[in-house]
Amino acid sequence: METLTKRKPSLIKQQAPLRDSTHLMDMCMACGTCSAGCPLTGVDGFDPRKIIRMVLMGRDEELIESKLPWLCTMCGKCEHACPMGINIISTIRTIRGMVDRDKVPGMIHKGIELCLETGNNIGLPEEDFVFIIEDVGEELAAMPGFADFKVPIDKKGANILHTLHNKLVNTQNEDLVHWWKIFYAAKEDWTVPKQNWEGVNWGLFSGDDEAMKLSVGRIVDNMDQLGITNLMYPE
Amino acid sequence: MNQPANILVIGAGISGIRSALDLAELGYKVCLLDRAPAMGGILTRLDRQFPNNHCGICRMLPMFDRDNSEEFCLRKGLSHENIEVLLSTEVIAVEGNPGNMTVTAVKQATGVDADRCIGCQECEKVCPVEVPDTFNAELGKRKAIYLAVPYQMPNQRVIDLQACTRCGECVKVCPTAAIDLERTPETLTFENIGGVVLASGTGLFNPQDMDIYGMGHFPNVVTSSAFERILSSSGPYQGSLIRPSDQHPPKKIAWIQCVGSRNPMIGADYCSSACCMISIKQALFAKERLGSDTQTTIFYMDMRTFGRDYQRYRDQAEKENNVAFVRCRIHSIEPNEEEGNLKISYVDHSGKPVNAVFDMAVLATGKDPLRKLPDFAAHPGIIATDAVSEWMDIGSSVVSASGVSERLARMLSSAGIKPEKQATAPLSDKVAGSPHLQVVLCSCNGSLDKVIEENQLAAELKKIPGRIDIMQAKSVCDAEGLDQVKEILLNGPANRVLFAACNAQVFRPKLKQLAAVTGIPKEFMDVVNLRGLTENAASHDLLGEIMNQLEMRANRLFRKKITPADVRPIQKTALVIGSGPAGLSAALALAAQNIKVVLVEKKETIGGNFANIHDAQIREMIGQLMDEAKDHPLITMHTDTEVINNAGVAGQFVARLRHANGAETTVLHGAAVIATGGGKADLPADTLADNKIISLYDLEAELNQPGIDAANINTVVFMQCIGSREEPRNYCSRICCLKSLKTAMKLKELNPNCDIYVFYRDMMTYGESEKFYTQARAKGIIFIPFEKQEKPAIKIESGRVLVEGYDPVLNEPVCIEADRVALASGLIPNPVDLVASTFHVETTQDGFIQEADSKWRPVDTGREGIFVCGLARGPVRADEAVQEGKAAGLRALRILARDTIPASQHSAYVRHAICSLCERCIAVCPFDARYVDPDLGRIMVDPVACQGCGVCAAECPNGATLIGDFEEYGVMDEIEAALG
Amino acid sequence: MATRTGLRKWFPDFFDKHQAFTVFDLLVDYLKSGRIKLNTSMFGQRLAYHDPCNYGRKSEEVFGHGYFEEPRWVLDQFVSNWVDLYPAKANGYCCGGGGGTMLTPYREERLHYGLRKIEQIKRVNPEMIVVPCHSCHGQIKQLLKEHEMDIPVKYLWEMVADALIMD
Repeated sequence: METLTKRKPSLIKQQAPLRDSTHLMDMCMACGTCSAGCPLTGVDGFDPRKIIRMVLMGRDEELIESKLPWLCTMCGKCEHACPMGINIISTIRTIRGMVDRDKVPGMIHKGIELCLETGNNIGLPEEDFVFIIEDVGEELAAMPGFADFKVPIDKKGANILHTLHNKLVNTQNEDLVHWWKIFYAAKEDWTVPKQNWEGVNWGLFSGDDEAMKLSVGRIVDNMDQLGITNLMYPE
Repeated sequence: MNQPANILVIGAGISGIRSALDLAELGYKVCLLDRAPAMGGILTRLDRQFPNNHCGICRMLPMFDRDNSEEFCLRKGLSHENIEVLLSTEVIAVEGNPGNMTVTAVKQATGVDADRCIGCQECEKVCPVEVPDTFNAELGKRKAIYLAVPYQMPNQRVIDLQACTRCGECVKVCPTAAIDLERTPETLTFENIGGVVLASGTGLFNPQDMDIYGMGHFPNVVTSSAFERILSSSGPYQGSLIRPSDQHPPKKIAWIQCVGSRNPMIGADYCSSACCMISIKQALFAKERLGSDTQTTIFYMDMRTFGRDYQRYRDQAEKENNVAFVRCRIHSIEPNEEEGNLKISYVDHSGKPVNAVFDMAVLATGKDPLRKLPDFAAHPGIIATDAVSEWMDIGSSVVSASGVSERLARMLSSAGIKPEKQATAPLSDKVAGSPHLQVVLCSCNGSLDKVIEENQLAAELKKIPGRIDIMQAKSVCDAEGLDQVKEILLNGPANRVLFAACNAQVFRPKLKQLAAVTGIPKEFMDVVNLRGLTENAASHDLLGEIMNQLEMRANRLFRKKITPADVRPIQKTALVIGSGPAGLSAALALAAQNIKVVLVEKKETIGGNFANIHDAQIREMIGQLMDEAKDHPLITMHTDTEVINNAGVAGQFVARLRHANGAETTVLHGAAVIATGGGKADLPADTLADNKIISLYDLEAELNQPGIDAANINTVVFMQCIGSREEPRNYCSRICCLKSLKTAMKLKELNPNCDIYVFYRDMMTYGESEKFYTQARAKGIIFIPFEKQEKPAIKIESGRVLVEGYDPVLNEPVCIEADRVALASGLIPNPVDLVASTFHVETTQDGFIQEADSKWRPVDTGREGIFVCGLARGPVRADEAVQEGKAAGLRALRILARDTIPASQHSAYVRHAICSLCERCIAVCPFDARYVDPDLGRIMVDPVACQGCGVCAAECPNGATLIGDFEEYGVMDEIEAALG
Repeated sequence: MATRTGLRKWFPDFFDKHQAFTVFDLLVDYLKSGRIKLNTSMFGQRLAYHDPCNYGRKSEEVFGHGYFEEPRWVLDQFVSNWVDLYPAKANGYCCGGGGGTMLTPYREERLHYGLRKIEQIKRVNPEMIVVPCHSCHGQIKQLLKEHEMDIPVKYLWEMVADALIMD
């Protein structure tokens, strides 16, 4: 056992935004509410109150190096019942953001890099994207009731900008048509951009504010360029 | 009540009743208001209380001058000469200044005229409207016309006008035309009010809107107050402990602490103080009712067993009764596969997740964070009890309420308002004559004619030996009927009255009115509940039954005689022993009411622990008390002095003081307050093996030195409960947690970079002091809980002081190198052997003075006229000691403010001729009311202390002891009549 | 969630010129204004609705409004037999696929997390599960497959699209 002399100040604590300025992370009374409510408690050593206590003890590095922050689904159930209003979720995201980008597990950061490069998380070239959605659009037009349906791409002055979850364009094409059908029935004036159509923003998950901001900025640019007033939130 | 009230008490719960009784006993006229249709507040729903597991509210009843009040359960109602109770009444505005205030209130229409309702319940039987029974936590149903509290007295109904459909069925059946559905609220104005006590309570948190507990979703999730109702024989299941979903007895019950408390997210940064003990009590009751194999689990963060006897109560529950205590605040209650069962997940001591299944869950709810004080609360002349801002246990509420009574009495006397002398109605001359009974037969507006033949009854009555007149009346509950009776009593020969009417509880207030007008004492009047007897008319010999009752009461009335009241002059001086905050505030409370005080202090200086107190606020408070006491012309101080002898009875004591120089002084006094205090417990020498290891008191002193440089104090460990909360000192010292927090925060102020760790067993920051705990954490202080059996160890290695413990939050051992280790060694009482034997009071196993009842008579001792407060009674904070001092002062004042004390009608007396002086009666007397007078060689009864309980009479082998008004032959006659 | 948070944080002027709508806002608007009409006999089976954390609890926390009632209102317009899981709404369980966990290699942990969801689903025993979130859709489908439960999972808007009455 290591002997504690002086606690290191925690950068995580400093950077993690509070839920409310009166509810400091230090106020955690380690009551166990979060741990009792989290389905992950006990899995691979995961325990929300332990993570908070580690932050308060200045054990940043251990947390940054562990897989614990990546196990959390950031669902916020722990915070929902927390009597002290501790910012558990923003703490997790802050830890994630402090991990070297090349150590971010799985697809998350790779997707972000692709997105920054190509405008979507799967790196799909523009021609392929247009081909896929026009193809699915034609299939829909062939169905009874949807005569003359066409996917409006980059339509200037449309009422609503619609973005797409990459998995619909990638492996789950069959789920593209649901909203198209609804738009068609509602006689909505909508459009999909052919550039930067990505609807999900993984910077939220990786704690990468820069990437997150860039993706949101692209949506804003699309709307400005196409002269569109209304946005349908991607997710 | 003859004169109008000069004090209003808002709220007729525990605090309000206490305060009203205090002031009424001082002779003030009090009006006790409550917006509810019944009095008693939360206590009406609580049958039995910790730590005795029974109820003792009757112990709040006046102990002397008892004839002024009816002696029945205070949960049912309150009747006192000086108290008027107004229910369904809410104060809306207060104007004016202390001494002359005007208060406006609205009395809601209850649909039933209380002057007419005789509680016959005919209305309830016919009412077709059923609504959820709010009294029983909506676990059952009640009618729209109902009894607000099922056992209240008088048992007059009220109408839930929201639920009432105005069908009029009740109006049709009411025999006394008491129901008026069209009645509207009435505005009442009280003028010339001297002062107002605000005792409206805090309200109870309703967890319905918290989605995590499933309250309202799962029938078997109930609040602790609903659980009290389930336990109660007047509850929804007649006292069977069964769960709501399927009415089966539960086998596994969980208690969830801090529901709505210790939760700043809902505005509740406070502890509700009493819930921990309530849950332990409920778990014990569950075991008692359902068998010891019933599994009971309490989920808690800190078990706040901070009262003097509470830790042992918890230990017993844990060790002997196997109540399980799990330190984890649970997140949610969820359904389980089996219908009605509940799943609760928690993490155990090693951080492992556990899913447990229960049949039932009890939410320990406390203070309602949304409850706001009324706008007028801050108006001058209004004094609020602590229980309007904090939830607290009964003992604390009672102390606080008496403290408020003291402040109010002080305010009134400085405004020149004195209690008015009781104008006792002169007795009629004929009372002394030979017994002559007037029987009044009421036909209840003719409704009783259908079941009883009154003429036949009258004929039967004539057969009773003795002089009897008989009067038949249409109705004696209205003014007209009562006037007829008055007329006969004033002009006729009768000097005793027996009513054959209805419910005695309803009728009794009318007897008082009658007594005042006719000069026939109310003890010479009685009521037989004719209506009650006719309820089961068909099933038995009704006339015989009625005659039995009437003859019994008649015989008793014939035997009644006027006992000349023993009137004892009062020695209007108080003796206060101890000059700490408790003793000083008691002395000042008495001196403020013009009572001479002899203040005795063993040490050479006054102020108790003043020298050791560093908190600026508390220092100022005690300093002020010291200055006031020193300057007070009515307070005589004797330092370096002890009381070596005390003899006599309440109102008339003689004490001997011995001074340091050996000289002695005799003091004649009427009451004594023991406030001998206590102080810090010393640490065993071997714990202080290094100069970095010090007591909490010493660290506090060090940090409060002027110009202290704390730059080198970089890591400090506080350790709580050193010596406290385990045998032999198995009580919480109550002040250490807060002291550690304040000291730690002071340290943070001096050196913000200091790392501070607090090892604790249960943080005892009860009530509003929870905020200090929250603030201390906000400042970065780390709190690590430990269990009694795994205390952190202090090691010294090559000059380094290391504290080794286990952090259950990290699930890791921790080792901290500390610059200081502060040990919270707790409090012990000053030695009380001499004072206890001098004043014949009992002590606890820990050497505190034992109070008469920790809940209901917290500052009384078992001996009337001897009171106790502050650290002498148990661990308290200085502010609490001051409060107790005021309360004890006020209790003493009940005696000292009078010139004389009348004895009660029902006091014991001794027939010396046949007394064998065996002294068995002295041994059994629960009130210490008996003693041997060595000069007379006789057993004496202090009729003031005597409560007429009759234990002595039962014990006496010779029949030498009798209870006034219950002489053997009178009772025998009664029994004979009863046997028919 | 991310876009909404980002717009508020970095592009506060956006809302001067633009409006933004969630899927629920649009569905409710189309239905209330009569722009779409739904076949009310399309879904007679017992459905269970799952609250996604982002639209529900976290929206409530961050934006002051959780989309709890809107999806239920939409269901009420054309589905007769839908039920809630317990606990639901603000205290509901995450499917286990939130926070990007669908993209990490910690599959076992993610499936362990989902056990709570499976328990909830089993208690209600539905014939179909409705979700309004792509992550929840993917995770719940996978969970059901792992537990060999043959229950279809549909997007809320998929059901609406399927039930459209075309003029």
